[in-house]
Parts: sequence; C-alpha cells; structure tokens
Amino acid sequence: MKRKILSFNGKITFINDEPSKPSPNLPVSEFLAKIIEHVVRTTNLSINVNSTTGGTHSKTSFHYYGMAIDINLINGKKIDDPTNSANVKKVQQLLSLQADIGECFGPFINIRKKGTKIIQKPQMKAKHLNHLHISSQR
Amino acid sequence: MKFITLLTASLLIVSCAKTDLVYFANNFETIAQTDNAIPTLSSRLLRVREPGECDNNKCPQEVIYITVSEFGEYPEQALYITPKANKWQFIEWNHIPKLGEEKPTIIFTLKKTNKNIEQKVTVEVSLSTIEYK
Repeated sequence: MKRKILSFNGKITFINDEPSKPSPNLPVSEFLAKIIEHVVRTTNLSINVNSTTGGTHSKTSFHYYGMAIDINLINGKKIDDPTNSANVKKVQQLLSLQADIGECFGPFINIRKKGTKIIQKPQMKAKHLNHLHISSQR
Repeated sequence: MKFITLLTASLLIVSCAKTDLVYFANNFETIAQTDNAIPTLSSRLLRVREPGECDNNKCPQEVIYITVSEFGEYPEQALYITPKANKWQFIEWNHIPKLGEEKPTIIFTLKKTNKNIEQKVTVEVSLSTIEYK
C-alpha cells in the first residue's frame, strides 16, 4: 500500500533540489511514510524531502519501489551545515531505532537493517555527508 | 591536431585486458532473470559455452553463471558458477522470496545434459550459499 507523506502543516516539504525537475511529493510505502512522520512529530524538526521515486540511483535502489527517500534539509539548514549537526544527529538516531527502517545513511549513522539484524556500513558516510538516504524494509 | 585527437581518443577508449572477462562479455547469453516485482533478491542466469566445436565425440561444454543481488542503494551481491555440462537449460523459478523473509533464498530448476543423459537439478541460492539438489 502506497500513500503520500503527510505535510504536518508544512513541517515536511518536498522541494526538488533540481528546480526544473518534478516535485518529489509522490506516494511511497506506508511504512516509510509512517517512519518519516513519526520522526518529525517526535523531534518537532522540519525536513525537506528532495527525492522519492525520481532521480538517479543504483539499479537496485529502493527509491524505484517507493521505499526510499532522500532528505537534504533539516530545520531549513543543509545536512552538512556544521551548525545543524545536533539536529541531524537527533533525526538519524531516531530513524535508526524504527523497527521498519531498512537503510539509514548520513553523516552520523550508517546502517542497513534486515529483519532485526543491523549491519554497520561506515563506508556509506562519505557519500552521504550532504543528505540522508532513508529506506524502509517493506 | 591529429596528435591531440589521437590522445583524446586514447583517453576515452580503454581496452579491457582481463581475458576471462573479455570472453564472458562477448559470449554470455541470458537464459533467465527474475522479474524483480518484489525487491528482495534478484537473479540472472547467464550461460557461457566454451569456444570450439565438436570433435571426436568431444564437444565444448557449458556453464551457467548465477548472479544474486539484494536490493538497496549499495546491495550485497554474489556470483556462482555451475559445474560444466554438455548442455544447461533453465526450466522454471520455484521460489522468489517475499518481503520480510528471514533467510531470503531463490529456488529454481535447471536441466543438465551430459552424454545424452538428462537430469533435473534444483538450485537454491542466497547471498552466501548455493546448494544443488
């Protein structure tokens, strides 16, 4: 079952970082939507989703299945803005604790979860310094 | 000018010197692949026959390269090769894992022919193991 992520009165925005490209506000897995909404509700931080099912990703990416999103802004600031580190860390920590999380890649936490098994992927950090890549397991 | 053109071309066209890879890339034939409707595990079966022709009742043999990949941005992947046979054929996919399966495994059936003797082989593959039954 797919649905759009709720906007929470503008707390969650969907601005493509490539302005000429379509809006990423597209239906995603309801499990992924619930994860994102839960994190925004709990932290009260705003986020911008800059990619859902569009963009160019690995051939096997969960993006193509509506099971992954990218986040490039938290509270209006870039992920790699040093003054935003605490917020980015808080969001990543909460995301990584969710039962249905599949991938949580970013500057602070890089894990791949399969069932209840968590695999550390420190090599992903270098490619996720300026955005978070989040996917769900279903 | 000609030198610059040649230099540019040499930077763009790089020959692959790995002999096995050159032979594989030029000769493999995809005989089956999973439809990937469910992002759990995917597989491709690539058949490669040895070069040459039948001579004194001895024919070039075939192997199947079995690729296995999980889904995700940086997937874990594996590659297996069957033993050689006179002929390998794909019969059917028996099992494609569903989302959430604890130990996802793909099961399929092949038919092997050796000296005119046909044998069905059930293959069970995951990212870490392969079993022939």
